[in-house]
Amino acid sequence: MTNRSRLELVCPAGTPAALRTAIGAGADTIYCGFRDETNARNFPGLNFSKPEMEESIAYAHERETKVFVAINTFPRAGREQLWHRAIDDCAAFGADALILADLGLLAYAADRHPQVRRHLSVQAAAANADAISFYTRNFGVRRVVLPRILTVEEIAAINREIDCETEAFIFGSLCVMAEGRCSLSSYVTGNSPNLGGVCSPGSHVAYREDGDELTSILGAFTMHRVGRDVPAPYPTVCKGSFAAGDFQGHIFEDPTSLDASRLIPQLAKAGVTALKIEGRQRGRAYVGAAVRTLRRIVDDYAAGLPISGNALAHLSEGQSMTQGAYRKVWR
Amino acid sequence: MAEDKSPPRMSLTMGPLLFNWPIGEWSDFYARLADEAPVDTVHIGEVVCSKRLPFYLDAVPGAVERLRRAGKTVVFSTLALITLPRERRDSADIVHNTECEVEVNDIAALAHLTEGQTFRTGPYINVYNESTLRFLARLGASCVCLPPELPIDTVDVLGNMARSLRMGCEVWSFGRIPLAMSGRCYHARIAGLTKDSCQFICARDRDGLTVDTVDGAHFLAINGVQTLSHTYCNMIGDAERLLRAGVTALRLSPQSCDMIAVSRAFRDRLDGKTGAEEAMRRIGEICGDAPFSNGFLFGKAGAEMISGRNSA
Amino acid sequence: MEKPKGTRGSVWAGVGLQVLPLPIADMALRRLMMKIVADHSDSFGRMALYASAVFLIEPTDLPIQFRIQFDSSAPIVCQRRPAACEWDARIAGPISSLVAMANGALDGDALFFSRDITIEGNTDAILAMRNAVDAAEINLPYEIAGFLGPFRPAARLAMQIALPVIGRVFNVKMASPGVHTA
Repeated sequence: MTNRSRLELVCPAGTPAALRTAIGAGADTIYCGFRDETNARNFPGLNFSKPEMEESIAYAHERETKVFVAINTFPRAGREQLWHRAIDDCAAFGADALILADLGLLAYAADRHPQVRRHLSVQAAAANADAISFYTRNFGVRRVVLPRILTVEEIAAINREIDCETEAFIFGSLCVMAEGRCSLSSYVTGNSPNLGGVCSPGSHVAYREDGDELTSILGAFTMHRVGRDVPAPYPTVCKGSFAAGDFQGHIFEDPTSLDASRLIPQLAKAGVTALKIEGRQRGRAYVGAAVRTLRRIVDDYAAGLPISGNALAHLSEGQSMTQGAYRKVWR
Repeated sequence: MAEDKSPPRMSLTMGPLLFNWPIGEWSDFYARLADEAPVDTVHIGEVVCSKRLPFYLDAVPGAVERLRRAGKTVVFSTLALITLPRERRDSADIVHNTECEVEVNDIAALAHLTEGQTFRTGPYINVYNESTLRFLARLGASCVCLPPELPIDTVDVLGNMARSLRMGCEVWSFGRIPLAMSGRCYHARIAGLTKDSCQFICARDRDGLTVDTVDGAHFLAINGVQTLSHTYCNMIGDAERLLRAGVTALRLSPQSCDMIAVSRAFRDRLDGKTGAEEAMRRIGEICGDAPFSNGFLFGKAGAEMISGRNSA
Repeated sequence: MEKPKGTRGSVWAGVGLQVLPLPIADMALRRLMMKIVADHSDSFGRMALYASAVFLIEPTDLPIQFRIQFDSSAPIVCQRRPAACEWDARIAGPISSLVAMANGALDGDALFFSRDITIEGNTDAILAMRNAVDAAEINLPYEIAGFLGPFRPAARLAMQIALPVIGRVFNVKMASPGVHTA
């Protein structure tokens, strides 16, 4: 029986309470961000203040848990100091890795804080071995978060070629476009996830009840119209229902969530080091449940036990689940 | 001594053709560009889908030669999302070519640069701030085309910095705006096919296929794996402002309308031969009922058209 | 009166409300809310931008509604439904659904997707409140037990009737966007 090394479970935390919950539920690593536009989940009231980040990193380290800090938006020209200070603070607080996407920021971090690990964010959309090698050679990147548009076979091929570790999303919301280069939200709202860290922001959302139907609207455009008893979708641009030619429906992506837990054995064989749970904007109850369930699956796999296929179904109420691009049919 | 107060001349760049045009139209387009268009730089190459390249690859050398004889600078554009091994090899080949400078649209292509080689970056490379611009300059970038979503205050900083680094700085100024790239082909998807079995149906749509909301409002356009705006970016009314920001070239993206006429309208405006209103009217005539937008530049929704702010 | 457990408490809450004069509920709720916010001031600081926003919480199966405005001298007001109330954000649903978010027991997304709860108005304000409440890890039984202590016996009985209602009001629901990037 081959000795299976244990996959690292990287878990989201939008608040210190969620961080504590995730650690209690068995996370190996937490990833989080500061409460400002330096990270791509800049929702109202979410994320960590500087004191909270310092305390939380200490708390995590006392419990042998690592903390990665996402500073993964693209700094605004003329305002780079905000991002630079965020990196400086992370180094001072003892963060275990910085998750970065911007070329200039990678250069800054490599130059000023060479001893702090640099991970490549999914926002860098590094989808092949050449791109990844560029980042490892120029910035000493030690791990890359893989874009969600790759198949398991492609991931295996990438791992055979590159020098650094890979981290793959295993559960949570899906992004179907190459990330960090998507302007759909800013086309509709003026808010860009790349700059300000919010996609399809609540400030531009409206719901309208028309009799039996619920219309969800983003900016000046209707994203969905659903009848009674159908789950009410949040109007994220790429998840909308549209018409093109003779086609009507979810052209870009269905409002599904990713559940690739059944593919953990294949991802492990493909050389993936860590599994990432999406969901910094979710409540701590959700985070706790997701982490607990995936902890068990990862441990079962490491112990050579069969893994449960449907363990996460209860967390997807109202949303269907998909294995996303990991299986080739998605293209 | 009197200073020369005349503003630097802004050049015009014809960006790479994003759509799948039949070879006859493709050849005619580049022939007309060479013979008639007052553009300084012309991009040739496949940015969206590597499956399309074989259909016109043989015609490229002839087009390059004709453009060069007409005094145009030719740049080879490369793929915006490189995933397949074949695409990696092709990108490497293009980067290694000795004929023309290369425009990089995916970081992967940077991996193939040779020592001392200069290159350009396209609107798919995130140049958002000074540090990134400096890094790319050190790497050998001679010119950057800024991501279309950047607001004017960012363009100001980057344009001026590019000038001090002796780099060109382009801004997307005409044509449907590239908003997103995916691994999934949307033309194939709506026909119930996959990217591998696509039957090249994207060739039916010279300007991409319009996507409407359930209310019937025109919203976006799909072009294979690429999603574009429905509106045509149109910065002809903002050219002066861009010039002041240090922008050295306006990028015009080919649509099926008369791009020669579009280039002339822009050139005349830049040369001061027409005022902003007249220039706008001319573009409107050329494009028929295509709606225009320039909202990104003003920090608004990209779909909006902000007028009357050109001297701000 | 039995301490309510989970969703079964909603029946008692309705009974309690029919006998309890609103002013007592108002006062009790206000004091409890101010205590909770003061005890978790860091977490509620997440709502600083929306301190003046008016939230209307409407349990659809109870005859009352709650108007919440954090920086007001009357941060929570009980009104009999229907009552005209200008609001910036509105959250409506069965009391058991509003309660089910108590202490992080259920995720807001799931409730919203199930069409159990409707939200209207300033989505950012609702998001901020939901994130603040989630960060605060409010333990309502604990808070309420501590709160009950100082009251005189007569008021205490009234408190015990009001408590089921008080318990529910702070379990405000939230819809979180299903967004994607890291």
